[in-house]
Amino acid sequence: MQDILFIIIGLFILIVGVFSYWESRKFKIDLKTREAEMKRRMYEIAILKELSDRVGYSLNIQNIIDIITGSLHQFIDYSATSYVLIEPEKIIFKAHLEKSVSRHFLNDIKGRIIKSLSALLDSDLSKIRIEEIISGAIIVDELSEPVKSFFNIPLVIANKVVGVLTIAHTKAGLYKEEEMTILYKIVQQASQAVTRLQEVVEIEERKLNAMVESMTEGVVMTDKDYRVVVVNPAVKKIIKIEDKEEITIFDFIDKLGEKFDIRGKLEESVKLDKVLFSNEVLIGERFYQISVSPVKSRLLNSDGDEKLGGVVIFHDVTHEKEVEKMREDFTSMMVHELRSPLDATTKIIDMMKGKRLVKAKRDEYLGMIYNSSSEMLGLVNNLLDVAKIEAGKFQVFKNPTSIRESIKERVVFFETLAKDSNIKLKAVFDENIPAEINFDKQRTSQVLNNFISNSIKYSREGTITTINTIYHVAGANIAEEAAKVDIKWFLVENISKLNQLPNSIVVAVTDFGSGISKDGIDKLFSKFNQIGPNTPVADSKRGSGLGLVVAKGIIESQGGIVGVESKEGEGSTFFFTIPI
Amino acid sequence: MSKKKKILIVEDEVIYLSVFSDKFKSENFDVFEAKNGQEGLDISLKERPNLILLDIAMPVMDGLTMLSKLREDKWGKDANVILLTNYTDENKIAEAGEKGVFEYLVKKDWSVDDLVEKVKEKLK
Repeated sequence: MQDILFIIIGLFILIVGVFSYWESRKFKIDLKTREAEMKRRMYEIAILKELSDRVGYSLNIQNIIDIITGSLHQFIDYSATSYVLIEPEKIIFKAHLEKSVSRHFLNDIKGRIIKSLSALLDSDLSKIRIEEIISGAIIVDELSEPVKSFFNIPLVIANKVVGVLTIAHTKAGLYKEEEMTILYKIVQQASQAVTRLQEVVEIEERKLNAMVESMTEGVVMTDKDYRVVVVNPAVKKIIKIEDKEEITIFDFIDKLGEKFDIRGKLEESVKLDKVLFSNEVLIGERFYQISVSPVKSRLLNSDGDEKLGGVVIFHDVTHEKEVEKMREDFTSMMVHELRSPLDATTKIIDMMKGKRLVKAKRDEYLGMIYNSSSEMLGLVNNLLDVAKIEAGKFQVFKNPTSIRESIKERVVFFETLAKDSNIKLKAVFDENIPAEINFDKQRTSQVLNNFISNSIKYSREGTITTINTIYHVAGANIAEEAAKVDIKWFLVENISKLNQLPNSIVVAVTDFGSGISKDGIDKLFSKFNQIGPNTPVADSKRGSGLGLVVAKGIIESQGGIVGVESKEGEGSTFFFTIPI
Repeated sequence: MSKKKKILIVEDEVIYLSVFSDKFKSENFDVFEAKNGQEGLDISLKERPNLILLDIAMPVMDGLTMLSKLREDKWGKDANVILLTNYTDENKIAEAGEKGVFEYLVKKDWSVDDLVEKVKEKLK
């Protein structure tokens, strides 16, 4: 009995033992598989990470493939890895040899890979030039091992086949599909990344194009071989090649000629890595400032930048130039205006020095000095006022005063001058004018001085200059109001402007003289109208005319308007208004 | 007794006219005055001065126009003319040069004494 028990226990132990053994073996195999699996996963992740780090923002497919093939040896054993990339004019065949192989081996790979590519593209590639790049171990023709294991993966970017990647070995039985999964994944990841990147680039490119197309500045960009890569409608218009389809650098060289050495400047800008600005260049009838900048892109894994070419921008500065010229003319004119009286005064003083003069002569000279100095002082004051008006800092000081009295004072003031010129001065007042209104008496008198003295200067002898003052009620028809006062004036076009005024006093100074031409009227109240080098000589003695500019400033500061109307050869009416 | 030299001053700016006139009178010249080109032309042809001091910028008729007309006259084409002006305009200078003038002097650059010296020199 006991013997059977021992046997049973013994068997039991044996069975358990065997069972355990099988289990542990299974477990070990399991573990090994899992370990292998994990290793593979780790490699996968490591390589994918390395790839994404290095692929980054480059769209250079060859670079990307190189990176992939470069990292393959970490988890795949091969004699040679190679790829083909299809380019517009050739096929690139690149192979990296991990071990020495024969030429025969290499040609075999090449044959297979081209055949594969032909099949994928469904076209005959036998006629296309193949550019070969071999690296790694040397080719030893004596080695006879042929290709025993071979695997290829197509490279697809944005749904287009761009090449094929292969690995080959002299050993047989490698490259099972299971192992190749990781390779598939890597290539797929890279493809997808590149495709996505291309799409993003396309969108950005379109945005950039839209922006460049709509710019008013002319833009043209060339690559480092001076081929035109970007040209916007604006620059085509500037260079007058709107109708041309294919634009080259020579179109620019032709049209710009010696005025601007575009090719030279592009070269200089890229070489010195600097933005260059030109002076104003006259193209057609407009002036342009031309800037040239180098265009670079950051290369992967390198400290430098890749020089892509240059961009030339044409900026229209015609308007600025005109304004600049007007300013210069104005300044030189003002200087001239001051220089004459100064010189004359100096000469008179020269005549007076150390000489005994008769009283009459001395008084005559002193009078002339006084007049010159007053003239210059007047000009300087006007210049200061104009500057204040332009800066918005001109002030008027309003007080309740009688406009009637102010005007009458002016008439008295100018009586002598008028008589000397054989002109009669008359003032006519609307009975509705309030006894007192709020205005700056001193400044308004200045305006009257200017209007009246001009009138006298330009009136024909024997005529009457009238100063009419009307009380205008907002909304009323000023022509009717004027008729009641027996006004004499030339106002026709400005009537509507006056009718739109609020309750105001309208003062109009009418003279019968030479009148002013249409052209002349537009510029009268402008600082830049004044005499310049091109003014006809006969007009040059009219004085600087800044007085009118200041008059406008004064009246507008009080809330009124100024204006003039004239009939050439008959006379003019200068008017201003004061709101009540 | 040497005859007084006749000088015509054509100048619209009263100050200059007065000053030059007085100065040349004091230097024993026979002075004639004109306020614009028309007067200047008339007096030139009538008095036939030894020298004409001519301003450019004048109303009614400017200096260059007067000069052109003067040069059309038999006597006038050889008249001695010095242009006096405050213009430093090159175009005007060139224009004047074509019409044959002794000198083109910018007023502000010359004192009255120097001007007299210049005139005397030209008349030698």
